[in-house]
Amino acid sequence: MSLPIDVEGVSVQFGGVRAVRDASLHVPAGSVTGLIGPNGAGKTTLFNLICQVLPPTSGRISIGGVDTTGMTMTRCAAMGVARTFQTPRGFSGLDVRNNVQVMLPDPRDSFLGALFRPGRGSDARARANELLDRVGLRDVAEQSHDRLSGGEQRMLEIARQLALSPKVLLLDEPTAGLDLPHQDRLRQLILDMRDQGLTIFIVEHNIGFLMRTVQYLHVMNLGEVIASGEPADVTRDPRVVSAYLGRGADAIARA
Amino acid sequence: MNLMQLLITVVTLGGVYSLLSLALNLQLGYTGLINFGIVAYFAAGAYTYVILVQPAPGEFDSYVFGFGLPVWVGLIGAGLAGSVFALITGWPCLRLRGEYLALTTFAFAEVLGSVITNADAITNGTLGFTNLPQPLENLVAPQDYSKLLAAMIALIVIIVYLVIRRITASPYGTVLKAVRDDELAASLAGKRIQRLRLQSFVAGAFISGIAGAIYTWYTTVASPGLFSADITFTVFIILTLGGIGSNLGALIGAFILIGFQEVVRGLATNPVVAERVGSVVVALEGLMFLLVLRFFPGGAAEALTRLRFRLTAKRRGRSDAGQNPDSGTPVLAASGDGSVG
Repeated sequence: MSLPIDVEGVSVQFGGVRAVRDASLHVPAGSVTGLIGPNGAGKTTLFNLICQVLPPTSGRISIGGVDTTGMTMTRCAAMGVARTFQTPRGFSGLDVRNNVQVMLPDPRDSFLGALFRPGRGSDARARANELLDRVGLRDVAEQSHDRLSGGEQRMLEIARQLALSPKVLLLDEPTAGLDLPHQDRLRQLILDMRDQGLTIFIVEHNIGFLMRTVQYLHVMNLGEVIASGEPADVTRDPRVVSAYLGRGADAIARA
Repeated sequence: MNLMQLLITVVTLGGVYSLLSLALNLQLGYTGLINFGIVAYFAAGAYTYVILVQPAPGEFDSYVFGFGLPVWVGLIGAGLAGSVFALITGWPCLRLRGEYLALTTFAFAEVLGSVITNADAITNGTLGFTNLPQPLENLVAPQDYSKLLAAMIALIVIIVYLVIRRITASPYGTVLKAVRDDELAASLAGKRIQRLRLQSFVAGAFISGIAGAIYTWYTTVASPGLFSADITFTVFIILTLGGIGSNLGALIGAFILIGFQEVVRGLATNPVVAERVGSVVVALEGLMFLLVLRFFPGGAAEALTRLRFRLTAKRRGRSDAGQNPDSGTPVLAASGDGSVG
């Protein structure tokens, strides 16, 4: 069952700065939806609001019809909301497989469980391997996280999020630092995940990648949502062109 | 001083410090908690143990409580006292990170030290308790007791080491490390950060409390002067020498540092020499500390890993023996700033 994301009239204020102003948008259930906009438009802030890393100053966020405004981020995560970060994060002291395995929920990872029933089931290990296969990192499973390249860390972060079996996945600039073969792999992965019912919301500056991947597109500028709709229509919107794309964009979009 | 005597002292005192460094390693190495007040949990355990096992007060004693309970009850009580104090102090402090946590725990330790000095009715004030009974002391001749004590302490260290190794090698240990490395990513994975940090803190304090009880077996006294911040610093030095994040390193570090101190002390045969040695030994410890940080920032654990790497590389006949394997995680530098991209 796929869950839609609804953001209704959300604002957030940092001191005197209104980073997001009265933003409303809808991410349809089971879709791949993009979010673009110039630097500082409030895209990442909106992501932080959706997964409750930041509480909104006003407005309402709901996921699958459930109001998540003001929930703790841990509870929101437990509802099936996963996200990646603009700068890949990870557990630098763990190897690649453990980075994924630690995300799998395991009843034994309690303090008493550690004393009396240590040892993780081999099923967890198998599941971690399977996820590493999906992102193409199986060969480096034993390596430490620090040794991965930036692009590999990005793919690993996606594998880690998939380990949570999320219903909603927020990707913050997933193609930054990825070469073209990996971008293709990522695109295929995103489409596969969508086919399995995930709702995927992507912040991206790589317009070419987005045009080939998303079904819907939202555009933010200065904290406001200025356009929403089908990618082809949105990218022709004169406000979007002047705020973000510039005149050369049409050519890129067609390419 | 003969060699046997030296060995016995190193095992006994090194064992006590091993327990403290294993406890700190669980908190700092695995969970990233900079507990600069570890002596407080050690002292809480020591005093609780003494109060539980000592006989009721005599005519001239100013303390009120003495329950005369068996040693094992005292040991468990000591661990629980450490844990309870950790719950009380950890609940408010563990929201702090990095050096803020270090300062707050340090302050709590000073407060407890002051309470111990002044609460005469419970702790017998600055005099403390003396002539404490030693467990199983009637079992062997008095001149052989130190051997028995060393053996008992060694046994306890082994048990604690195995338990901690079991915990840290389990999925739970991996979760703790994940919390240490990236709190935000871990909490977005549904891990309950505060709870995990508190559990690790309390478990470490339990071990510190037991170490405190055992320390009184060795000293046969418990007085405020024994529980100064020096203990905390020594444990931090031990853990750095051994390698933060490695349980085996915590053991090695404790025996290396205490062994070094005891050997140097053994060399000082008369008071004049002893005084000079006393001042040189601190400088030498400092030098050792600097050299380890410069060449083996991961401590003894890193040295071992490098050695093992070199040996296996040689066996395989590969030429990459010059490469460094992964060094220990720089925990102090890695305490997350919690910023969001």
